[in-house]
Amino acid sequence: MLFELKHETLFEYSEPVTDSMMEFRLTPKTDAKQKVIIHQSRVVPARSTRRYLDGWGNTVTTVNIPFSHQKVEVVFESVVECDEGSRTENEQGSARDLALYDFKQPSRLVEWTPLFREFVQDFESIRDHPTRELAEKLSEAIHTGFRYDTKATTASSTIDDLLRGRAGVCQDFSHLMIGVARWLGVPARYVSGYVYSDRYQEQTVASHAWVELFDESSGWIGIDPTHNDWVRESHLRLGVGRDYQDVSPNRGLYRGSAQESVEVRVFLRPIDPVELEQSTKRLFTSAQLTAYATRQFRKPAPVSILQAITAAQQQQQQQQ
Amino acid sequence: MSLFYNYSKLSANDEALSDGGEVHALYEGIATSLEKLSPKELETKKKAADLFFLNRGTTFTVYNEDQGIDRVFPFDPIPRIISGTEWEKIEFGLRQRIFALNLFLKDIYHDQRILRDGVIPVDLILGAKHFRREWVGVEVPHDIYVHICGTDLIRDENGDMVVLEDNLRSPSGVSYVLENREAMKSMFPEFFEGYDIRPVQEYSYLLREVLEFIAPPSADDPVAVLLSPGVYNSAYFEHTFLAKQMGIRVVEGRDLVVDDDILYMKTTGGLRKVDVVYRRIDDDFLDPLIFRPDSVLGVPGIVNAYRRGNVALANSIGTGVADDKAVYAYVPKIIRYYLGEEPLLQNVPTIIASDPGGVTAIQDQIENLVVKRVDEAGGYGMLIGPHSTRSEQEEFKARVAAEPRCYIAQRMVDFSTHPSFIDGSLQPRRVDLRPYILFGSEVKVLPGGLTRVALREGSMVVNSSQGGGSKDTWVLR
Repeated sequence: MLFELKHETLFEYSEPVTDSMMEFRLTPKTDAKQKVIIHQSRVVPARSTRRYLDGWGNTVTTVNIPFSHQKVEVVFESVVECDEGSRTENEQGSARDLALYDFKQPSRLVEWTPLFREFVQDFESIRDHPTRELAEKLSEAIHTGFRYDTKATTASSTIDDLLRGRAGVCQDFSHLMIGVARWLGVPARYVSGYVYSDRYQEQTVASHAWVELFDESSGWIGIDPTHNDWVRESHLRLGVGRDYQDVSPNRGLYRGSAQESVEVRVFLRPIDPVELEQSTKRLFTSAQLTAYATRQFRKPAPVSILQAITAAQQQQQQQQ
Repeated sequence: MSLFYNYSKLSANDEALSDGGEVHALYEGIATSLEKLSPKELETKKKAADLFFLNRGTTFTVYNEDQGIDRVFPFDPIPRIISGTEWEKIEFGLRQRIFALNLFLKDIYHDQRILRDGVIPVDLILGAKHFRREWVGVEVPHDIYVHICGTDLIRDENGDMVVLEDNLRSPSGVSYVLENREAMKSMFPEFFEGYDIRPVQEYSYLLREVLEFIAPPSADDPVAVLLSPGVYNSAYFEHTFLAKQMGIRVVEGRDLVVDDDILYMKTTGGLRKVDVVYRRIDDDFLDPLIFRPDSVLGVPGIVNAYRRGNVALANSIGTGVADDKAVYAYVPKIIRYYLGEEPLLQNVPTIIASDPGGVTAIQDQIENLVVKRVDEAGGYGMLIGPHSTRSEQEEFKARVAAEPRCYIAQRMVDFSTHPSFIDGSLQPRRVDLRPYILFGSEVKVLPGGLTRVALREGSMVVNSSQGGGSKDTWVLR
């Protein structure tokens, strides 16, 4: 299946800021399951972007804006071909143990807290089950045991928050499932990406997160506890890591005492192979970001994550 | 009458006395010089030396005491003397060690051969607090990770210098080596009579050479800066001192800015490109974009500028994994693995709590052991078994059991004492030695290093943050 993807992030500040420094993990991966055919990024105000691969093999795009500015729009556009399978990558040979090490330990957002240890007792009975079976059971349990509610948690919520409130979003469900899998000795990692949502009724947001478990025979396999389903051709992978913090779509800092609001818009649609040529042409010629000039920006959101840190007023960007 | 006359051998292992209790041949010159000085005169000269340091601003900062934070580093005027032959042996051992540790760092941030070959437990490295995943696979100039190393040595009961720990992040103290020598030359010139001592003043020049060596090739006339956390850092004096000696600027995070992966310093004449940063700030605080986002000491974007090769850092990122005290126990294996040689300098035998049976081994003999947290430095977070109370021991037993990965224990070495001038007479006080090793186009070891003195009677803790002093260290030709 071919997808055309556009991810726009708009940062708006209540007054001018300077020295913005940002990192984005918004470049789809090329792996056993999907292939990136076109990928490009643009920034307004016009700035060059740079790329590097992080320790997990995710592509990171960096951009900085030294001068005074009040709005930044960053657009990533891709055309990606996606296969039906759930398998993504395999680690081989003596490198396997080393590559899997991090995915067997608790991590910052996947801690084995007392509340978690209590929760995980129910799953001890499936400890030695085959990976696929174990995955399906965990996914089922999380899907039925927790309510999907975008208001229940935030980007920095922990597993405990989910266990207390019994409600959350894909990020929280994935963290919990990763935690349980690791506890049961199965290497597990966090995947950030998109899901083409025509398939699923429950939610329409295209940005998504799910889980990959490592199976001795087939390597990493993807499962989506939010939809209680195996990962399919509707799932587009951006990055992998121990938890959300390793693959957050954006992170950054700026200087100034302004309040920041962030708006993300994702457009994801399947295209025909015949459309590919048109799509390519369009992507490479659309120098103007018309949306930037015309759209009405929403009012600054209540500041929750934003922290004024010091007199130097270096601030952390909100993560989405 | 010489002060040495009354110097009784209170320790089994004194550096200035031979086995028979007579003055060691190396110290005969000093003993003769001291004959011409009364204790009162020496006291006066010592006070003058303190003033010398105060006037020059040679201070350090102490936390967790109620008094003012700026201190003169207590100075003991009796120099420590190391023979040329012994020094040669130490120097070879240190060279071997820094070579092996650099190969180790290159390996664990790339192929991880040593882990795959099972020489070191995977958990010890990948689970280490200072292992920087962010830095895996990144190339650093000339494959050098540790450009400046300070390795702590003590002399054991057999008279051999053994390694206590390596400091591979930003070892401090070298400014006192240079200042102690200046003070000795000004205040005690007569002590130098008859000794042919290797100079130490070239250190700043050598360090500057290292910084220029690692600069990006595109920089014709490299601009180097010293990045300091600021005036509240315990080593701020040293930052300004070394920068001045090298002719480079001391900057703080807010003086630097990164644009398009290039590092600039803000000057009155506008932005100026920076090619090399001698950073005296830990990885955690270096770059809030990559490491701790709440750090205000660092420079957002500096890590990516380094990654791109537009600026060089000394030391590199992630070196702290190799001075983890649990990894220290493996350094002899690391040397054999990478160099195929036997270690020239021995380690103090170490029990790693996370090894099988490690916790029990520590708990069973805790009263004879020195227990240390693996990721702490400066004498914090440690227990000296023989000098501790029962309840302190119990507390540490519990801590070790709770977090085995965080603790090691070592046999308590009754390390050497050295005569120190205290309350009008010479008294034995324990000393260690921190030599400084520089790795640029070649490895250079500063002759001598910082001899730290545990000034409290019977004390075994020499750290300046715990009330230690220092003395001039002479390496003879």
